[in-house]
Amino acid sequence: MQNEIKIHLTNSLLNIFLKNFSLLLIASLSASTFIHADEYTGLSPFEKAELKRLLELDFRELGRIPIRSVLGYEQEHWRNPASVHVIRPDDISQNGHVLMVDSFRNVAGMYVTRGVGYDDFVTMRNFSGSATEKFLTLVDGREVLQRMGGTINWTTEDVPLAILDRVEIIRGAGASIWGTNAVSGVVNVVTKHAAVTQGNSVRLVMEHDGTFLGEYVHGGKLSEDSFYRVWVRDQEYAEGELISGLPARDDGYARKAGFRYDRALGPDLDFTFAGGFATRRVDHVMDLSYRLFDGNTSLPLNATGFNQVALLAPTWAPFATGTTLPINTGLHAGFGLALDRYQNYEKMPQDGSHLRAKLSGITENDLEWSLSAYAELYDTSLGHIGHSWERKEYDLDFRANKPLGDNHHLSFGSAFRHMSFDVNDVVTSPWAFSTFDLETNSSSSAIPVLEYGNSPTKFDRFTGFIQDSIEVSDDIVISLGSKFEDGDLSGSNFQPGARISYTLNEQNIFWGAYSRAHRQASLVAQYTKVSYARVWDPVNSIWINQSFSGDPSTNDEKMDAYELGWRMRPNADLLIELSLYHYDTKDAVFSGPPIYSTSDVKTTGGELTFDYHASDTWHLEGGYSYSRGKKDGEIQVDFPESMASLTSHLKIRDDLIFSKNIYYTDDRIIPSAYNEIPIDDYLRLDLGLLWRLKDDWEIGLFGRDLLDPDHPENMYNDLDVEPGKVERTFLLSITKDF
Amino acid sequence: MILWAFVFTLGMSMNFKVEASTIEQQRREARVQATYLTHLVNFTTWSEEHLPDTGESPTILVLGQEKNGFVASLEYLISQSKVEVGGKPVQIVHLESKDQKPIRSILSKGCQVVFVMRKSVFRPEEIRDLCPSAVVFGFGRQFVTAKAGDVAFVSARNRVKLILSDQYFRRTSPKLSSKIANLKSVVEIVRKPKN
Repeated sequence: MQNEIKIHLTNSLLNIFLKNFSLLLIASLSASTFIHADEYTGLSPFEKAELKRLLELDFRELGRIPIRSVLGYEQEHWRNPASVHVIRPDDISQNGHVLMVDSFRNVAGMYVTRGVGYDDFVTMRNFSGSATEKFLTLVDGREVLQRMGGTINWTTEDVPLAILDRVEIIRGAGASIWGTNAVSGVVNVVTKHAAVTQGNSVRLVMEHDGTFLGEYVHGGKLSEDSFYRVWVRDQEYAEGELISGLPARDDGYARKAGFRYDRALGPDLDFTFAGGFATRRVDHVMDLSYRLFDGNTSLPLNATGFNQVALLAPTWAPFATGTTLPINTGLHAGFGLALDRYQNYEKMPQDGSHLRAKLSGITENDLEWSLSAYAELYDTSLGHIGHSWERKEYDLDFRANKPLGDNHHLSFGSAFRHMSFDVNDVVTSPWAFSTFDLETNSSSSAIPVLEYGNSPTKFDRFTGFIQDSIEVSDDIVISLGSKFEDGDLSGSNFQPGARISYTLNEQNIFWGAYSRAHRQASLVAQYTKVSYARVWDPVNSIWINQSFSGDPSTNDEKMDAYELGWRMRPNADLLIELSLYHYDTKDAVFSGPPIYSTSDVKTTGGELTFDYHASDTWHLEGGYSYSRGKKDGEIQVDFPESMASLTSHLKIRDDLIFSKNIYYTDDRIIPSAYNEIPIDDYLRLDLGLLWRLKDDWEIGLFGRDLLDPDHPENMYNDLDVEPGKVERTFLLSITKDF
Repeated sequence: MILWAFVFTLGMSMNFKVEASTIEQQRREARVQATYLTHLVNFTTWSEEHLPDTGESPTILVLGQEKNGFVASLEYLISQSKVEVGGKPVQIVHLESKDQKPIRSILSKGCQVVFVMRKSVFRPEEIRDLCPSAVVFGFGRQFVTAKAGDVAFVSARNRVKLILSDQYFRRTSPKLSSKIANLKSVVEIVRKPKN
């Protein structure tokens, strides 16, 4: 009955949301037909919007604006033939977001979810696999994908808000400009030049449950041409609950420190040296409840033909044979069964550090170039599954662009990357009992959950790209380009792309694109044997290991992306964008028992967004996205088909802003071969007040998830890890800007 | 492959420089110039004697024809940023005609900024004789180095840069804040040409 009421309420709220959204959109579109007399004749609405943005830049930043640019490099240029959303620091602080990744919820097409307190999952445009982000993420040019599992550690890569300049989110394949793994899109994080972060800045965020974030940034000047900044950051996680009510054991901390040094070596010759260190200490669970089975020994594993040991214990006879299980942590009915829980928690320490240097300049002949290098050391241990690795990575990157003649702008570049891994796999104590391994035809008490074995640990990759932006006429610009790659992980390939931008009139621009993008399978998918369960054979009185192995011959996922877009500005205060796409992916990797498999996936969808300054005091933004994917002809249910968001910022006084955010997320299923977890659709309402005091102080009070005390959002696919509750939260933020 | 990239770069760097040529590029250049001018007005101070009388507005005077939206951009920026000089909102006057009488009349009344478009016949010295309160803007390095203008916009390395006369910093009024002098990536300061 309660569930029925909740469904009815959710549907009603969704109807209200969609009605309001539709009315606002219709009003906006109607407004475009009643354009007021333009007092400033000669400027298009796009040009006026650009002037507003230029006005916010200081002299130094104005000096970096190119007169002629590469199509696709300036994300906020109205002729950019791509679907783009730019996040600025105010979008984070004014909406009560704690981390940068939280702000991605406001981006149409991005699916952002939380597992437990420290686990954030981000996917884009129906490329799911919660732990497998299929887009390229760069932080100041450094690629931050964790190659082992194909994931991104958002905690490690987040930066203090005071040093964040912007986050550019480019939806859609962009390999020819950005590089490999830009399959569903690109997230490009850019921090500020040290010259604009002078002085001291502090930010504190405190949630009512005890979760805390503190950041301190100090910037100074060494000479007229050289600047520096240093910063530290501490995040303390308070413990939450799993959806079953059991403690989530997700308390812990994440600490970071960093620096940046910028120096102007000459006119248009700049040097940057930066680095950072991050450490995170949390626990993670290995739930054995669904991994031990009693029954017949036929393979592959069919959970409906077996009894979970957790249902049979503690009276189950095989316990007497020496099986060691963790203490029963309680009973829950989260999966439709009354099941004993046997959970093993272990430490999951992660440490990451990097150094990067960049030399960039512009020659007298307008050749703009940069040479950058970085070195990274990453050390992590997934104690709950006994899998740890150290990764060393070195990268050298050169890129340049130059106008050629009146109508061409060539960009090109080349890069080399070397990665090496030191992998260590051990069996965790609950798993340390005699088990028969069908692959080795022998018994062992030391079969780890993940086994990398003697797989390759050193990988090199060479890449190059070239692109020409061609101004065919004042209304039409096209770009043609390709990326070339030769590497140990994926062999040699080309990733071409073509884009066109057509200016219909002063208010309307259309664009189209074709791209081919590759995504390399993770090292786990290629080289790791996963032992995910054990079955008791009552005939022979032995445990039998259930596993599936990675496939070194796994090809890159190859996606052909077709996109169309329409950008309309009836006036400088209103922007409406529609983006449509169709992706045709071959060899998309899906994990899970009994094997890693590849499939053909077709995805079709789009986003409709608007940005409206209704008055000097009221700013509205919103978006709706739809995405439907078919895997080998079957509709995918692991990604929400519809999502929407609506943001309102109302300036009650010059120093007081009322913030409102509504998010709607459609239902989906966390896939699993034997324990699918349905996630209901949910509506989230966030409200907040932001008070701007003098001397750059700001105090914010926010309430998040106000409609619902809690709801689940996500957890790892196929690994049967119970989601945590995403709870209603109240938070206080205090910020002192530079 | 990196070696190839360097060789290609060397070849590219030997190529000649190009100017903004399409209409869109020229208009973008004009928008950036207008933004610079708006910022510079905010960083300039005028003494009381160089401010307009009560009831009159400080004036930015643009002389000569232009077709890249510079004046429209400037008007839009002034309205958006609510620029004030001496506590009063600024007005923009654009005179396209080559008839010198109305131009001299306005200059004699007093302006705070005078922007000389490329084909205008007025020289900075003439302007300053008629209107000592004005900061005089123009195009090209020689506008400052040879013609004694205060500020010139130049396009260099695909960017808009500023050439500033050191007199703009040294004199009492109108005077530019010395904070701008340190921005070497954007600003080049030159000495007053000897007459």
